[in-house]
Amino acid sequence: MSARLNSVKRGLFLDSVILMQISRTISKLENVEDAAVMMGTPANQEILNNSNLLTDDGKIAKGGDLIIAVRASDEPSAHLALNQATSLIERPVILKEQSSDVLPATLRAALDDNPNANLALISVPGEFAAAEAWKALRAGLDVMIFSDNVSIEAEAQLKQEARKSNRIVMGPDCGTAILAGVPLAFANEVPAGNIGIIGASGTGIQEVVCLIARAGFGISHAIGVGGRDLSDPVGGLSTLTAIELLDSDPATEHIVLISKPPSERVVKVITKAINRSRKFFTVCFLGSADYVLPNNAVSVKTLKAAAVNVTKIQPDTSSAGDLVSTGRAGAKWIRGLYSGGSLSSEAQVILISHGLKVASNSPIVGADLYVEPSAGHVIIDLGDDKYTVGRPHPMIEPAVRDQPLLDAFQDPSVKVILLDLVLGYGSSLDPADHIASLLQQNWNNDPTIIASVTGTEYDPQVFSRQVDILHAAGVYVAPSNADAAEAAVKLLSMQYDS
Amino acid sequence: MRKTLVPPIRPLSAYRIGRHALRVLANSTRGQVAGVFKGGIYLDLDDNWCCITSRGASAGPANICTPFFGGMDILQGCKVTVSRNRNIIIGRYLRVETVTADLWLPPKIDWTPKTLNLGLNAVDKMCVDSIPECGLSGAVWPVHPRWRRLPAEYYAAMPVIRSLSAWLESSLMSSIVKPPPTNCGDLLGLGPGLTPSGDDFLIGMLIALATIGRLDISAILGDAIEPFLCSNTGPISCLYLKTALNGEANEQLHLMINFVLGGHLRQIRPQLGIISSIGHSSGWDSLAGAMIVLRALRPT
Repeated sequence: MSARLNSVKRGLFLDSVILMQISRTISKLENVEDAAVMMGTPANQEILNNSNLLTDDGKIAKGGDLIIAVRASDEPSAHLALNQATSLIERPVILKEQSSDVLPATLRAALDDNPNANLALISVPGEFAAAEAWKALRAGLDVMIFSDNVSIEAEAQLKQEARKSNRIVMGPDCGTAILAGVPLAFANEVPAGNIGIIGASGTGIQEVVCLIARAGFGISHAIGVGGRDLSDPVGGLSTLTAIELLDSDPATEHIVLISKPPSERVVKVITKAINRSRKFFTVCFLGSADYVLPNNAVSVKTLKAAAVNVTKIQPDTSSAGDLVSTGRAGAKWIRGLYSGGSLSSEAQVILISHGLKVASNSPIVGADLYVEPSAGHVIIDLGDDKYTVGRPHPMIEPAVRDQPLLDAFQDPSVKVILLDLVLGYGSSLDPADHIASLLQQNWNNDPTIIASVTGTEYDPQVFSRQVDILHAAGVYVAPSNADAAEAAVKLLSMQYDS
Repeated sequence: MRKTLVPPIRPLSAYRIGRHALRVLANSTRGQVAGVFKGGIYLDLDDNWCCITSRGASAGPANICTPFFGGMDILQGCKVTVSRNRNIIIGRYLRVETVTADLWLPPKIDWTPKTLNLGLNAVDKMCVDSIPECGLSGAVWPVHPRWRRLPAEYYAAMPVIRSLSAWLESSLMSSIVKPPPTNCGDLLGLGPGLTPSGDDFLIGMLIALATIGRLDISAILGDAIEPFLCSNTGPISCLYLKTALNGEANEQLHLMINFVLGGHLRQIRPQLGIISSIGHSSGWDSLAGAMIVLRALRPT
């Protein structure tokens, strides 16, 4: 009695010549009476059936599937032939499905699976994150802590330990990194290049790397260090390590350092490290006064200025369109509704630089703390806990911005609304479409909306597509977040002029 | 931390693009690499398919021709996005710019019954003893006595091919086209290979009918098979059948049919060599399909 075996490979396409070679190879195996590797179309199933090769397993195949069919004089020979055909077929195919079959549940299991791993990305509830980070450091790994709610004392201890053991701890609350081209957490797809980024700011890193990429340049590594790294208790330990790493990286020629203003003590430490480095630095401490930096460093005020200083190319304004004031009578305020914290800080920097009084729920030096309700120019960081309790971050769920946007439409004093869209891995797959749908139903071009899109053509959302959707919805899209804020200020002047 | 650089995204400019591919790019935003072959990469973009072909591959309605040499780690399942400028970005490896690509259109031919007769005689002589042992070319040219056995698809296809030949002869001679034989759909998805032999055979028929200007006949044949395309064959074959229903296929098949129609004797032999190198037997199968149309046109 012959043994028949079928195996179906779903959605697998191989060259005809290869299919025929595999068919022949397994047909010639010992004790194999007949064998075929065919697309699983109904017509081919009939052929296989007529050749006494089809089994119930094969009958489930569709036209786009591949059937491996074997008939042998005994079952072991049939299994052997089927296994050989399978291995020949699967050799060139992505192992994605297999690798995701079993996910390790612990750090130790992950290391057992992949002993060559050299970095642990930790995203667990904050109270457990420090303990996991310790385990990772002891296992000799660099650590990226995506989790927040880790105490600053724990952060300082972890980073001290990491410095001792020649490792780096990125975070806590480190939302962005691109290491050797691998995007981690919220990050954009950017070309490789000679510019290294160190950032205590997630969306700050994203804005700078995207402006650099859109200017035609590339990134060696973008190292997030966590928003508190340059605070006094932590002392900039991870920033120091990152400077040393990029300084010794032959691929990196220019380093951009982005952070909120550090403490005076930490500035001195960082300045010394920059002075020791052989690389050029562009330093952007958002919202700070000018610092005296070594000769190999330049201080800039905005994220855009950081990108321009490195690339010497201004963002392309050709596709922004015409800025038209559609403001209503009596309207005079800017309302910024931001998903990116650093982008909201940059907007405040611009507004303050024009002498405007600004309030924010996340104020920079020179801005007031926003207390609802209040009139005036307001920049809101919607990533703040107040807006995200029990909800995803607005970069993931653009609907978080809906109600504040509707409120701004209803507020007759708002002349211009500033928005940011942050693209890349982890972010909403089509944020522009969400906004466009909302505008279509609730907005009559008043107040004016100015947006910026942080992203690249290579991102899953595709930068140009998002810009096009916003344009079609009637939104003015500035080439950078700083340009968007400048445009908003310009729009205020347009009202006064007319 | 790894210090090695990943390769930068490599830009490629496509130099030719088919109408079908153009439509797919205009209407799609994202998708994935559905199949990777030596000669090209099939993209599934929002359930529409097209193919980025590598250097040396032929043009065609679904093809985006590039100077790509291959060798990069593009794998099935790799993410693909399409920008507004019809740039195709594949994972983090490849960006194919299509804006400057020339539109590919099928080559045209002048022919007469006399040139057709010359072409048919020449191709028949060359094909004797040359056809492959699998596929459906054995239904059109004599099989070699040394063949141990005829392929299973041959037996399944022969009744259909006979009835299709008879239908073509009566349709081509008449201004009224009758419906095709009810069993013509049996060819769909029939036979080995990525594009089953029966599909290739139908493609050859459709292209020959389009080339001689009998779109009325190809439309009726299309009406009979189109409802079963998705269910009875695979997506790559389905793609080529759909473009063939619009009168377009691989450039090499068009050239082969044109050379036979135009009686271009010097070009038939080298072109037959190219046809025989397409797939395992795909080139031969599609030529066989075209032959039953051209033979039905042969002056008596």
